[in-house]
Amino acid sequence: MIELEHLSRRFGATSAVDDLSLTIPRGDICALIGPSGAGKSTALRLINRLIEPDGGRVLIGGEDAARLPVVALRRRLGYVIQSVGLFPHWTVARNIATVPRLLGWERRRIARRVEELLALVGLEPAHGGRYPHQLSGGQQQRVGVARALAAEPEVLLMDEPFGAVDPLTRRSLQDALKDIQARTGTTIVLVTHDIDEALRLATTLAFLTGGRLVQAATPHAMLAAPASPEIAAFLGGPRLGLRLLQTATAGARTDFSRTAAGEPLDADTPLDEVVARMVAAGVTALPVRDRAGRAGVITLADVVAR
Amino acid sequence: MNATATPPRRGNRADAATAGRAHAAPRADRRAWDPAGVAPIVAAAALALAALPAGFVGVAPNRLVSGVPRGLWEAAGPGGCLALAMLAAALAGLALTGAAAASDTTPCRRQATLRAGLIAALAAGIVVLLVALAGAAAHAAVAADSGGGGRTRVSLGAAFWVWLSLALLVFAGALRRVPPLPARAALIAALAAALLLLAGAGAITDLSLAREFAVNRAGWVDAAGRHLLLVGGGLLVALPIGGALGGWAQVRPGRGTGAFAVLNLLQTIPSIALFALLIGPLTALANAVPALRGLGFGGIGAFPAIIALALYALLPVARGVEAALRAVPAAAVAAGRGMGMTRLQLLAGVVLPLALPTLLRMLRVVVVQLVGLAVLGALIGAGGLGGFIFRGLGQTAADLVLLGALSTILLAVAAHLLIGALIALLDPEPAR
Ligand SMILES: Nc1ncnc2c1ncn2[C@@H]1O[C@H](COP(=O)(O)OP(=O)(O)OP(=O)(O)O)[C@@H](O)[C@H]1O
Ligand SMILES: [Mg+2]
Repeated sequence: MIELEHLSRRFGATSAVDDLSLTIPRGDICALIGPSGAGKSTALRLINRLIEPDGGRVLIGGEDAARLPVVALRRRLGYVIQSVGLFPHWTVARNIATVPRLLGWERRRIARRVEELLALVGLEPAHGGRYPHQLSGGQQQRVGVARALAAEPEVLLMDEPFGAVDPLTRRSLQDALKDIQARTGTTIVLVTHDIDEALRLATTLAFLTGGRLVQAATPHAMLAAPASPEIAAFLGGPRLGLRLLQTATAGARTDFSRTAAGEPLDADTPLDEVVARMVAAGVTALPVRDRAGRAGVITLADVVAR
Repeated sequence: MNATATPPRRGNRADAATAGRAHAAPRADRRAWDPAGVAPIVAAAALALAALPAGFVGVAPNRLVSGVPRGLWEAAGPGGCLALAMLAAALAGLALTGAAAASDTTPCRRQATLRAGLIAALAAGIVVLLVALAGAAAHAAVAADSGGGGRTRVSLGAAFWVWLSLALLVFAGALRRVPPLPARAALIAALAAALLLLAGAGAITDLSLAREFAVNRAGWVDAAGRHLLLVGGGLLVALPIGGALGGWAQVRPGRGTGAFAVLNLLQTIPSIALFALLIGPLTALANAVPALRGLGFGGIGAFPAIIALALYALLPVARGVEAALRAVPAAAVAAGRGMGMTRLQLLAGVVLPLALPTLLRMLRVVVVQLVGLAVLGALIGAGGLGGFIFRGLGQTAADLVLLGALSTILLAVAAHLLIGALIALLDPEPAR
């Protein structure tokens, strides 16, 4: 669990983070969103004490971060820096092994872990022997993510981790991250400019602007009731409704008292995909089957009903 | 111009010679010579031909009178002339075809490398031949003058120096176009070995320069050691202080300007003046604290020379350290910090390795500069190779001056090559 209590940090005249209070329960994925310069990166760096706050405090698992030895604290928090920041004089494998080496892991365990992580982020084992400058920007970013994951940290701080990755790889990385999170219960604080990524991954969205937290809510709640016109515009403006469809699944809107012919949809299908299929097939109703094997029907009217 | 088609590369010696067109076109390719590169070749050939009437060696009846110049034909005979002419012609031909071949640029990279290697080998051959011919001419002159009682002096003439310089310039320039490090090292080693072999075989013992060396052999070893001691002492003082200054300037940009202004001012003091200026205050210091005198501190001797050298080295060291630290990517440092590296781990594991190439380049410049400057130490009783130069000046013995100067240059070149080899070895980039 991470608790931010009245955190503030100024740089000269600008208030980068201003009275920020936010609780991120254990196992949550919290996406920090907001315009450029909103203070998202600064908030992350306050958590791992790369910068110290002017006011307020950070609690990690109930302990005041300021009281913990800073080096030990940082080794517990995986960190993906916005500008990747790989060590150019080390191979990819050595880069990934940074924290395990700092923690004094045994050599063979490190090698095994590196191999595992390379596969996890979709790189070939041969990439381990390369130098960062021999990789593409997106590949470098994936190494940065692998490096942050290496020692299975209890908290992951990720600053735009997939910004330079192509859409397909990005999706598979998001799935991988979700898997890891589900398996290990890691608490993740993610900064992203990709709203769809935030909606797909996050359990909580926190919208910052000018250093202040404007709204923290579940994706669905924020989309359904944005606290300010700026948030509404940020989440898609007139197309916000389409985004809202991403946050609910077919099962919730299905009428299980009826059935229809055809290949049934999975009840876990997000509503935007349901609409996409209707458009593709030129119909307004589709059959659905849930995990338990129950059959039902979803109609366009059900989808758009609130 | 054709050069526009070739990718720009750094550090081309040919550019310095043709600086005028540097604005008009990107720098010439490192491996291939563009047609405009014909100009320096023609200029060099013209210079070499122009030196032909000058003396190859000078023969004097004793050490104190200046010699009578003897031309190449007279000194080396037809055989020597023919050998030299053939080597020079081959070199010029190879260089010219190289310049012409540049129009079809990259596909012939290997060929260009090979050609550069051949050019370097030919230039080295010319150097060795020049020395051997001069040595043989000296031997002949001394033998002919049996009545002179061994006082006959054979010095090296203007033509010799012009050709030697040209050959060495070509050698160094061609070496830069030989990318594989072992090949480069082998060429340099071969040249050094051939010259040492010549000397060892007694082929140059009758040259007055060799005579001066033979007479001063014991003193020479002492002086060279002393010279290195002065340079090492200067570095020992300048590196920590300059390093701290540079580090400070990097951490607090803007604050360092005052310190740099002072260092800049120091650089403008003429070196001879600085050595002399230190005598007063340091003598006063030694008088005030007699304990220091016991340690060898005082207004004259090695101590003030080391201080003066350190003062000169301070600015380049500080600037070099600042630049080296600035070259370390900030994101890598931030990432290292964020992952829980301690200060020491960050410094030893990230900052230093990434700054090292730039630091070594700075060190190379500073060492070469100090080796040259340390000559002045002899003026204030610090000894070193400058001793030969100033003694020679006093006695109007040009060969003694030459001995000191050549030794200094050799020392500087050796230091340059050694640190250069270190830089190349430490290059983290795998060979391309
Ligand atoms: N080290 C610093 N020195 C001075 N000002 C800073 C520093 N770091 C951040 N700021 C300022 O604080 C504000 C917040 O910066 P921050 O990097 O947290 O924004 P961000 O939300 O991450 O933006 P982006 O989405 O562009 O990455 C900006 O106005 C920035 O200029
Ligand atoms: Mg940011």
